[in-house]
Amino acid sequence: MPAIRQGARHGSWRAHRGSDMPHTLGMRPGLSIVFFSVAVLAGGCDSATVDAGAEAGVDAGRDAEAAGVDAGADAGPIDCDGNVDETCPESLPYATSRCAVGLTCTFDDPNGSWEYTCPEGRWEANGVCDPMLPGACPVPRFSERCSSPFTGMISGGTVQIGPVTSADFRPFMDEELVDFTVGAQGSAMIAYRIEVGGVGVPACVRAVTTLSSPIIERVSEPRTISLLCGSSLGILGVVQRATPCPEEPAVVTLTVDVSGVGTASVNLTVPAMAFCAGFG
Amino acid sequence: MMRRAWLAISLLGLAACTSEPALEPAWSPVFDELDGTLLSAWGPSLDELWLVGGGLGAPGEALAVRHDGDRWTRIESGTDETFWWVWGSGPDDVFFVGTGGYIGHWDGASIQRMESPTTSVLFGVWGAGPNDVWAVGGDPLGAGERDLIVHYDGSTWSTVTLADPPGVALFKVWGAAADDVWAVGQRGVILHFDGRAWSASDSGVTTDLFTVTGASATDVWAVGGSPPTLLHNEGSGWSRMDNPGLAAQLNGIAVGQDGSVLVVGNNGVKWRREASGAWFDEFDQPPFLDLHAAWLAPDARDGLVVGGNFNAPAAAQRVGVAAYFGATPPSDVWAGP
Repeated sequence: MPAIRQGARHGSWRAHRGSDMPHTLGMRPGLSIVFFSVAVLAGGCDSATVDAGAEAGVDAGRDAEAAGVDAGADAGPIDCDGNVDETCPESLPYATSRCAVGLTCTFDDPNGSWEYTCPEGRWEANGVCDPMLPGACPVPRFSERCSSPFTGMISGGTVQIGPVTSADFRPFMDEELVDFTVGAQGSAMIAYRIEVGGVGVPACVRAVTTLSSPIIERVSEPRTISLLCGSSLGILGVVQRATPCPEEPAVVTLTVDVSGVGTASVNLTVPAMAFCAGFG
Repeated sequence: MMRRAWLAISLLGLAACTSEPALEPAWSPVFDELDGTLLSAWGPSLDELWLVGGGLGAPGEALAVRHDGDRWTRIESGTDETFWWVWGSGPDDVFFVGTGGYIGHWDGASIQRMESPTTSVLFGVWGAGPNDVWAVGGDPLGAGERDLIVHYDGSTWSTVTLADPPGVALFKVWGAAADDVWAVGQRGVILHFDGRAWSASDSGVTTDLFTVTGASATDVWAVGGSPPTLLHNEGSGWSRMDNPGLAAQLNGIAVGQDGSVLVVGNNGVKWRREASGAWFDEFDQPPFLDLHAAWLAPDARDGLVVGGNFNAPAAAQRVGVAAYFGATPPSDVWAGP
């Protein structure tokens, strides 16, 4: 049965499980206007076998159950040891987890199928809509979202901020140039991911991210972020419009404050067009 | 075959639904994985409520989900366009607008595509009545030539010629009366229609404004970002309100007749103002995906927020979420076509 929790301020809200399927943000680097696919950035908790973790406040068992995977009694985050899938796994693997180059696997979905390919040693997932059923497409299973953010404290926890790539996490270099993407309403966004280190790294954290620069107003926003072996999926941060539009790339400071873990900041160089998308 | 698809969608989408009424107002999930992002909600009550959206470039038919008080039904939209907004004058007179200049109409039996004067994205629709309906849109990355207001007089949709075009995409339109209509768009643009012509209204901000709505001529609200922007007009001009919480981009707002307000934004931001005027920042309640629109019943007893991963670029598969706030959640019964 779903747990009943007290809301922070008002009454109660009904926690639920069995459907905590996340979505995917995937990003291919190297494009001036970055595009996303289900393939690259997926992750999340679909095959997590982490104990529900009452002590640590870890939110993983629920997601594991949602994926039809036994949460297990006392397992750590799975597949954090670099295992390589040499054959098709029985259930959907994490996109971005390691696999044998050239492997292709298909998984049925109520609304089509999922095709997993391994072009460069990591799983890429693509949803295939059923052509005979208009409107029927696989619902993404990977996401940043999770339901029970960590509420404890990690001693010696670390936070790093890095680019979204299909490779292992690496931190941004100082003033590294970042691409941007434009949303459906014309907002420019930069993408990044975080990696959390320390003993007992949770699978779900709450964070406040801040973008600041001399040419834009400082803005902080709350987030709930799912972690897979300490790494997040791609996170989108809206870049404000600047008036006037800068003529040169501008340096923006990105700060990520993860509750109970720590804080990291990095200076990023953002293309001028990101500050005036559509109005350049 | 179609029936199988709808059933599958329903099983996925409603897996988290709740049917047990809460004893006091609270958040509860309604949908958490529809196979398209949700962008708008409209209806006079939970007994006649529409949720719409779509793939926004990802494969899939436009989402049109209707709640009749007893069950949810996915209505066949007949288009691969995405519905950005929905509004109706009554249960048998509901308009849908979206990508590609799509305009559709529900007559109580089916959604029929109407002849549209544009291929620009239509982001918002509102009417003073069945024969006086406005829609607004444009190209957020364009140079202004595709930004427009269109009007329906009961027989034909036509493009409105503006004396002083703002040169930006317009996102939403709402009015307190046929001669008191507001439209908002990029760069803080606000336009007002006084029954004769559209003219600019000073918003005092330059941020993109995504939604305008209100309860009366002296209680009009607009939201946008980034930075998070919450504007209020009590009849004497627009004022920027203090934000009750952290956020970057506010996308949607709904206003009840009793003074209640529900604001939503990226990353699950949910700000709720009660009739007393007290604000509550409830970002810590699921869903945590980006939220695009809010809906309040006129008496504000029931509220709904909708969204998904609509900010992700088009190659991403879409997912839609909805959550209810109140004491009597909508049913969890799904009836496919």
